[in-house]
Amino acid sequence: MTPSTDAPHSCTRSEDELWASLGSPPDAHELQCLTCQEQRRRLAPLAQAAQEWKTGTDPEESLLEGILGRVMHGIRTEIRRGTLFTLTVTPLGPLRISSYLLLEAIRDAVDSIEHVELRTHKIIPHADDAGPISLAVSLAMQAGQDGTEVAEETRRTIAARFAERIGMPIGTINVTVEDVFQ
Amino acid sequence: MSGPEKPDQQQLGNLVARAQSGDPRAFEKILTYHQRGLLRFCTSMLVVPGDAEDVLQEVYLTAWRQLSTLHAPEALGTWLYRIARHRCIDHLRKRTPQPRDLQGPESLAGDIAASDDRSGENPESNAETNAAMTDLRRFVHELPANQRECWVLKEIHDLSYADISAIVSEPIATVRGRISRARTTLAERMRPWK
Repeated sequence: MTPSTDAPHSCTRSEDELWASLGSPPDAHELQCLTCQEQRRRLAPLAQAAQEWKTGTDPEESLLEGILGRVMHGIRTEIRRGTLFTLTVTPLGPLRISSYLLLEAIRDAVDSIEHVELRTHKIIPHADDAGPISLAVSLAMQAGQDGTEVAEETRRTIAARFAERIGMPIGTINVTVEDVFQ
Repeated sequence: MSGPEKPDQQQLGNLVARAQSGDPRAFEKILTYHQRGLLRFCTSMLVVPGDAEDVLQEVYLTAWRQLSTLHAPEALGTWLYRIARHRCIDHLRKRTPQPRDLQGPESLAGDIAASDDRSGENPESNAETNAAMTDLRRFVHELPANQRECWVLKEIHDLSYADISAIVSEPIATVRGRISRARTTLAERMRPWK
């Protein structure tokens, strides 16, 4: 019967303690203690194989890229079919645009600004879905920047990106600087 | 375990916030930091080759759909492992048990006998090291699932008792006990490799 962690060896040193010390040479106690020496010998094959496992490469790892690629394709397809917003109303009816494209325009705009990292971004539809949408954006900015200027530049850049890429009027663009990074 | 260099807490917080706002690129980046560990965990938990691939896809989709429930970005790793654990358990429950699923015609007794037959050997070559690791993987698969998951998370993924406790939703003392029992069993079964 092998002693368990909960049942200390006759020398009172637990298996947990011994297991944790296996990566180091035996200490003074272990050099003297026959029980600990026997436990070390008993645990060594397991420790060695576990170490090999931990540091080795699994054959399945070659699949990782494919798995992630397939899932991301599905996710992108799903979100492209997401909420639609009215871009404009034509004689044939409303022309709608996916929220994915609008959020992508926000991300591209903010990513083009130096010293700023986008955190959250949200589209707020007009109450009757006919007026202009509003946007809410939160940022982290580099230390030493002026928060008011950063917010203003962010508004300008997003508005310009929307005008250039989407041609959609925007109501308000609320920008919150909620974190500072070095 | 190696992999892409992990972002610091602030970068991770920004990435999680972006992903929660619906940015698939941020989500994809987050997953690249954890995909290797998650695949390893699923492979350890599931017996049939190929199942881990299916389950990992489910894990990613679940994570994307439930991302809004992650309130502390620093808990992202344990949150993902918790999802993986649930998906693995669901998968094992749904699966019709098949005798010795992945191990072909060998019986468990045969495995033990084969392992015992090596007791006089002194394995030194890489091939023997790999064989020892292969034996260990098999013995780990044969542990009770609750011991297996705790042992793998501790010894292969280097997670703390506190993190494992959060992942398996059990007190730390329970986790310690399971790891200890698993280690005792595994050490006994690996003894022939001495």
